[in-house]
Amino acid sequence: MRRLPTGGLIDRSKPIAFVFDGNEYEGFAGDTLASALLANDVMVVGKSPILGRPRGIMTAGPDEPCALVEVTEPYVDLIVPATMVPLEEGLIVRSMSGVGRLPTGPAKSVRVRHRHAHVETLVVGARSALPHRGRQPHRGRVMIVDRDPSPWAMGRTGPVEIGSWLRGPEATVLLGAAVVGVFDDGYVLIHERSRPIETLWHVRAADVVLGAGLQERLLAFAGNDRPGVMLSGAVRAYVERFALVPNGPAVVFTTNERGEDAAGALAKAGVPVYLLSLVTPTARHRALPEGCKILSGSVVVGTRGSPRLAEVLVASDESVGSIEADVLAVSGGWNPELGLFRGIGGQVRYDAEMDWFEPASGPPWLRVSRSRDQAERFGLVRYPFVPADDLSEHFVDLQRDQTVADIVLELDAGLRSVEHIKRATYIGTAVDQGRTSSALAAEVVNALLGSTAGTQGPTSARPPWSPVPFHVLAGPYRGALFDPVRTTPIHPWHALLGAVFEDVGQWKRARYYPRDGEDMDAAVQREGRAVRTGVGMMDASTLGKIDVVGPDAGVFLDRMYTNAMSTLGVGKIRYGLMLGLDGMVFDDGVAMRLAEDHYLVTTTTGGAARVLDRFEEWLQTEWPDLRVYCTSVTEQWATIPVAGPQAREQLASVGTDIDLSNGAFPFMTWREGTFAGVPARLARVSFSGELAIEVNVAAWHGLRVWEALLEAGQAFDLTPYGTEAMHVLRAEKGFAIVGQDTDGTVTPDDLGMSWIVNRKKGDFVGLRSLGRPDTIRDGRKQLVGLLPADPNLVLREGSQLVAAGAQAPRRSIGHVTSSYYGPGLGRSFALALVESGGDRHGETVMSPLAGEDIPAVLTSPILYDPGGARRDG
Amino acid sequence: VTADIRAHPGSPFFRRQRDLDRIAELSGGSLLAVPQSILAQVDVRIDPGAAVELGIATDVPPDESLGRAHPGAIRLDRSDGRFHLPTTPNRVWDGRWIHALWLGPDEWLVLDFTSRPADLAAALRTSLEGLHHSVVDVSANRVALVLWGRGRHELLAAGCALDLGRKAWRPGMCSQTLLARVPVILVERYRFTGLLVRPSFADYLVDWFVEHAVP
Repeated sequence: MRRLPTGGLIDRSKPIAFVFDGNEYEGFAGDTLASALLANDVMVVGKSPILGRPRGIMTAGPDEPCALVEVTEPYVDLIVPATMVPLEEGLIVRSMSGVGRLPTGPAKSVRVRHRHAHVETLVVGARSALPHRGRQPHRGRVMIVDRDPSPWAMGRTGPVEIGSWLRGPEATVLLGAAVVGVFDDGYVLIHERSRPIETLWHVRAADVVLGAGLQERLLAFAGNDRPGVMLSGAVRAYVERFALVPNGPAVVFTTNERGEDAAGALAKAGVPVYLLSLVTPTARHRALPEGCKILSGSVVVGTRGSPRLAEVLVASDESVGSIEADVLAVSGGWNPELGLFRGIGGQVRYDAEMDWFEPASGPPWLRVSRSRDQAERFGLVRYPFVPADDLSEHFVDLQRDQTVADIVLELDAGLRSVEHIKRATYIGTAVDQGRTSSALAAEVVNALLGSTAGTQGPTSARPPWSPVPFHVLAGPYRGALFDPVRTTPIHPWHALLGAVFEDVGQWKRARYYPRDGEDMDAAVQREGRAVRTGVGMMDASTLGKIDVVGPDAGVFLDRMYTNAMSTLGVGKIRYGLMLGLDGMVFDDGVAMRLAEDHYLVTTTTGGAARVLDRFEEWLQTEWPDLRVYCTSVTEQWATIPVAGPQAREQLASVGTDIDLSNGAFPFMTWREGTFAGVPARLARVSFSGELAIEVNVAAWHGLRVWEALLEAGQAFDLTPYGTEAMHVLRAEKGFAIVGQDTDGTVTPDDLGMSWIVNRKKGDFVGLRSLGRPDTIRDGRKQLVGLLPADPNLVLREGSQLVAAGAQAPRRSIGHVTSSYYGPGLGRSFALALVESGGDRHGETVMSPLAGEDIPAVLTSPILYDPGGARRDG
Repeated sequence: VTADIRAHPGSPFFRRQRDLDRIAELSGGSLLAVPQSILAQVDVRIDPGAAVELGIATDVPPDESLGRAHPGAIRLDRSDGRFHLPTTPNRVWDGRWIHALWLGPDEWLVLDFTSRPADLAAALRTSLEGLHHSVVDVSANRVALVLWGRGRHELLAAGCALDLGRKAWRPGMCSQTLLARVPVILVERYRFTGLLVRPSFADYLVDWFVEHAVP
């Protein structure tokens, strides 16, 4: 095609250079990439994805099935129709074959923001929902969205600026914005290609008005995919809006009067036109300009040209001939564009008078608005495809390379429903969501089955209605903002000291504190030895904490934990285990009884939210009669366990009015008082097996108290230790970690903790399942200790275990759940879940790894200080 | 530990003053983010109907008259008018130095700008004696940031699904919601929006604010 020297809505004073497939071209402001390519007579823009046939530009809008391109500069879009890319300075584009390609190498920085908006009315497709003259149709906040970046719409009396009929600051107009999908209750996702930051709008609208334009459909004949074949509406748009004309004559082939408008537009621009119309001659024919030759009773039976259209083969009942042409405008009929309407469950019905599908029923907040020119009737001949012996080049869906022959094949196989044919052929499932092909496919099926028109209609499409890049859905939530990062009050200290952090849920926890030249193993051994022989401290502020208050608090906790909490004395602490309804270990922690009607329970770091949720769920849905309130206080408290034989001296040196002696402050009790000058609650709990006192202060004092401990601790070589050393120390004591040594299939009995299940106190969550045959069968996996024969060899966590001397094929009898070098034991060790492990202490098993069997001996999981002598210092 | 951390160990927002200043600068004067200290915060759980029935509280009907507007509430009778708990959902009772935020039909967050946490909790417990109640000191459980300026609602709309339009989100309202995937409590006043958040999320939120303030 070529550009006319005048006319169109382009700005010839603003030339724009761009690159397509490595070649430089020039277009004008107001061009799309597609119109600029056509202006440079670039008719072939890619290959079809399956058959590799040359393809061109078929439409002028988002319905483009062929001309998919990849934009690399000045922004990145991996797959977009050339018809939807506004021409701009520095644009670099390459063709593709309908299949996207993920870029390798560093991702180009594209900034995206999300934005929530609430409106009373959302108008989608402003051009098709222009208000009647002089009327202010909308109340309250209004948003108008249109995918075309141009601010002008064609009204009945001339161009109208979109949104000009709205008043006030409560109106938002988004142009060049694509609706990704319409969802329940008026929730609409809109992708606005704003610069320099793209925006994904999350709109909640009380009312949604969908302006349904008309969607033209293709007509199937041999070679209807050759570059140069275009929908009639597109030809009209290229002539009128972009001042483009074919190099020579053009052919127009239409089943309806509206399609004839392309002939009028071409002829008006001085192009010799051959019109093949299946419509009985009407007033429109007579109104066609001169230079328009009407070939009545003829149809297009084929195309020629390589790679682009050069010749159109035409046949009537009497004769066959050919016309030299580089553009063939085709119109197979029209339907209101109802993709978004149907995507949210809107139903359509066939309107025989218009011979198309109308909205029938949909959600009450959704309305389809029709521009008035649609009400205009136009003749239409039902003619989905040109009959031929060979239908294998009669394309229906160009993006899926599917033809009438492919539909025939499925019908021969017995398929009848268009829904089945869609799934068998993939017609309508490509990026274009079947805009040009779904209605045609249905019409082809109706015709081939001998059904009347409209018996079956186009299939529906689901979101995204317009392709949306993943980086837009992710928005700003990537890199450092990917997910909230939670830090403790003492975090700045950890960071300054060069702690290595590990992620525990959303928390950053200090894993270890490497000193000069230390690797993780060395640091963990040093930290662990300090706790075993001197004193260490750690930041345990992330532990979940819940205040449980009310006269029935004890009864409630009895039902949540496996053991009795109501019998706990005020001032005392008890360890507790929680089960799922399936009887499997769910979470653990300790309960402190602060007052007769007041407990504070702790949870695992990762389990805090789900434990509180579960408390609330049972209170609200099962036991509303219990007078109990639960309040999360996780972040109220900074928690610093100080552990090791010298813990008492260390704490006393900081200054406290609490008597720390074993007699006054025994194991599993708590005391309140002043510590380091601030109010504190100290608790004698130990996760390391050593004498340990947990310091709890208001979070805002956490850092100050940590530093006070460090300062006073210089005399004791107080060593901060991280979560890794904590894991090692607790494993030496055989303390299971929920989620590491358990996996949702482990009962208290499997952990060797049947002592914590109190069956006399009454019902509790999970009790019933503890009696299931599978829960009490022999041979379940049980927690054991594991000592490798080589005391310096650390087994891999997760490795499988087989019986010694077992013959191939060997079956796994268990697996390693925790494995370390023990600073207290002075050797390697592991915890494992092994079938009947409790009865097999002393037995040797094998851990096969990399072709080698590593022998290890099963033992009790409690390897260090089994008598518990160290916990009192 | 560096001086600026030591100076403000309580609220991470104070440590991020430089970034907060940057947000103000980038916004071109439409936004100002100021950390705020709240002396005492106490979470209160009661059945307000039971409190009235028991005779320790009185129903206060809503008053929309200009200058005196307040939501429906109960007044705790033993508190000399210090404690009102709003019963209109998502509303704040605005006492001079004590604010009570409706968090749920049986839950409030009482903010006190002049009392120590223990004193506030004790006073509330005294007012509620005889009724099944929970009064929990959560003074360190959340930190506050105040957003001033006309650009504040647009900033919040980038990460909060609530309708923050003038008709739906009026001064005197509060809400527990998500902002940038972080659980927050928003409090709307005539010229500013208060934001209460657990301190562990504060750094992340400031990073998010900076990302959204950069044009």
